[in-house]
Amino acid sequence: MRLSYEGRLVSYEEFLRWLQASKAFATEIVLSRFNIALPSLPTPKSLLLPQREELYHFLWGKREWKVIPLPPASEKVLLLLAPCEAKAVVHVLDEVFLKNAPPDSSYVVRRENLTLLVVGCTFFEATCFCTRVGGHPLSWEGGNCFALPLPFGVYLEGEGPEGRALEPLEKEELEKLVERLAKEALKPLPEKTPEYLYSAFEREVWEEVAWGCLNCGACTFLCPTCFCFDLALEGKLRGAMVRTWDSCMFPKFTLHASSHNPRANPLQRVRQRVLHKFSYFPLRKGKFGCVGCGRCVLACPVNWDIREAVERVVSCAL
Amino acid sequence: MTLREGARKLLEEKSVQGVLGYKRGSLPFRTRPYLFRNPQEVEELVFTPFCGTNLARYLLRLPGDFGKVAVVAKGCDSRALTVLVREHQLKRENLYILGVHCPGMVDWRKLAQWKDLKESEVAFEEGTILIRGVPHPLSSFLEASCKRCRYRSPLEYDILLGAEASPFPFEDHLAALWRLPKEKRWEFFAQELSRCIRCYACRNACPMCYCKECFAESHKPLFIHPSPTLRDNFVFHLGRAMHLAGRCVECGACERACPLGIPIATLFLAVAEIVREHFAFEAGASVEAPAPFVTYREDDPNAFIL
Repeated sequence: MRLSYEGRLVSYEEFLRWLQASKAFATEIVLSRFNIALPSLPTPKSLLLPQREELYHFLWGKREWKVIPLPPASEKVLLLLAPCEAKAVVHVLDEVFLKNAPPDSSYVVRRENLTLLVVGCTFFEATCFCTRVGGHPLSWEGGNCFALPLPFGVYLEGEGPEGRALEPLEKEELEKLVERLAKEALKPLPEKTPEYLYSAFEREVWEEVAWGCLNCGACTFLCPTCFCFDLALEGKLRGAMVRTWDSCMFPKFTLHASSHNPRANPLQRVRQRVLHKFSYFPLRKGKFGCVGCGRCVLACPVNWDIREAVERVVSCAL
Repeated sequence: MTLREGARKLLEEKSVQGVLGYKRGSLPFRTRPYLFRNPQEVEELVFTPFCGTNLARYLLRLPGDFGKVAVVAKGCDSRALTVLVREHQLKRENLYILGVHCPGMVDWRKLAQWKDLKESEVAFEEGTILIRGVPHPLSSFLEASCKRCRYRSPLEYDILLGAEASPFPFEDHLAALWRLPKEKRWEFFAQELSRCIRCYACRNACPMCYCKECFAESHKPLFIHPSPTLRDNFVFHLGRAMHLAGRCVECGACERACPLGIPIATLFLAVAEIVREHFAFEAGASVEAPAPFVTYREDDPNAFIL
C-alpha cells in the first residue's frame, strides 16, 4: 500500500494527543528520527516474540508431573514503527507464526492486540536498503495507519484522528518528497537473486565473504525478521518451559544429540544466515526474508555488511 | 617507513603468508579486520583512530598450518599477543608484529549526533578532534578503556612504525565507581546488565576468550539458562570476569563490540585493577613476569584471603 495523497493533515499537538490516548510504544528507529516521548522497543519482534517467554510451569509432586499452562500476557498496544519494520511483521513474522498451521497461539493473541502505526521515512540513512529488497520508505502495507511527519503537520492515512485535506501547495511539497526519495532510492536486487544464491551454495567465494564475522548473535538478535527460537527448561523438579531467541550464528544452534553438527564451522553459519533471508525464504514464500532496515549493519562489531555479502555472491553467480 | 610500505615489503619478500590489519568499512568511520594476502591489496590497509577491534582475536582463527603472519598491533593488541603466546595459543616465531603507536580509539557512536557526517569532515590534531572545523577535546570522544590506557605503544614488536601519537590526559572512570558504596555499585551493574541480550558479541570480540566450549553455552552441565534474566546475565559476565582475572589486557574490545552500548569493560578493567594492586602484574606487559593463578610461591602473602 503506497501513499494515496488522499489522506488528511493534523497538527503535531493533535497527533501527540491522539497517541497519548492509547498505550503507545515506538521502535528505536522511529525514535532516532523523530522526537516523540514514547517508551522505546528495539524492534517489533521484542513485543511479538519476546526474548524470554514462559510457556508453562511444571512441578513434580505426589509421584506425578503437574503442568500449569500459562496464557500469554498481552495488552492492547499501539506501535509506531518504520515501513521496513512493518514489513518484517507482515511479510515474515505473520507468515511464520500466523499463517502456518497450526498458528502459534501466543503470537496470535499478541498480534491481535497490536495496532501498527507506520511512520514513513523522509530520508535514507547510510545503513538503509529497503528498496533493494522490495520495500519503500513510504509504504504502509499491512499497517493499520500511516503517519508522515512533514514541516507543516502530520500527514495521516488509515485509522486515527480526523484532519483536513491537503492544500495544493502542501500536496506539491509531498510530491516533491516522493520524487526525491525515488531519485535517491537504491535499485532492487536482480529478480533472480534467490536462485543465483541457491546455485552458489558451493562457491569458494563464501570463504572470503564469511571471513571477518565473529559469529556473535548481535545481528540476529537485533534483526526484526530473525525468528528462530529455542525451548529450554528452567529448573528440575519445578520450573518453567521457556521460549527464548536463538541464533544460527551460534555453534550449538544445529548441534545434534548424536554430537554431529551440520554447521560446525563459522562459514557454514554465515552462509545459512544470508541464504535463509535471501534465498530459501523467498524461494518458498515469494518475498525476501530481509526488509533492509540495516540494523545488523549498524550493530555489527566488525562492520560485517550483509549487503556486500549478497552483492558479492550474486555477482559471482551471474 | 609507513605501515603500508612495511606491509607491502613483507608480502613482496614473501616472508609472511599474510598481513592482518584493518581496512575501511562500509559505513563512515568504521573499519574492519582484513587479512591482506597480496601486495596489490595493501593500498587498502589503514590505521585510523577507529581501529579498535583487537586483531589477536583473528589470529586464533587462522588454520594451524597457515605459516607466518604479520599483524598490526597497538599497545593492547601486543599485550594480547604476549598473553596468547604465553598460553601456547600462538607461536611467537609464526608472528611478525608490525607495531604502531595508538592515537587513542574514538567511539564512532559519539559522532552519531552530527547528521550525515563524512570522514573528510573530521580531522585530528594535538589532543583535539576537529568536527566540521570546530575543535573538541579528543578525550571526550575516546573509549573509556583508552582514556585509562597505560601502554599505547606496543611493548612487544618486530618493527615499530609511524610517529608517536600526541598524549592525552589519563582519566580513570573506575575511580568514581570504586568510591561508591557496595550497594550502589551493585545497582549500577544490575541496571546495565539488565539490558544485556546475551548475543555474546563481547565474548566473541575478546582476544582472551578462546575456550572451545564456553561455560555460558554448555548444556551439560547447565550453568545458565539461554534466556537473558538479570541473574543469569550476572553469572555470565562475572564468570567471564573470573576467567579473565590476570589475563585481561584492558583493550576494551568487549565494550566496543556491545551492540547495546553497555559499559561492560568496566567489570573486566576493575578485575585487572585488583590484579595490578595485589600481584603487581599486568597481563601481557612482560614476557617473563610470573602470571598470578598459575604461579606457586611459598612466601605468597595471601593478603586477599579474608
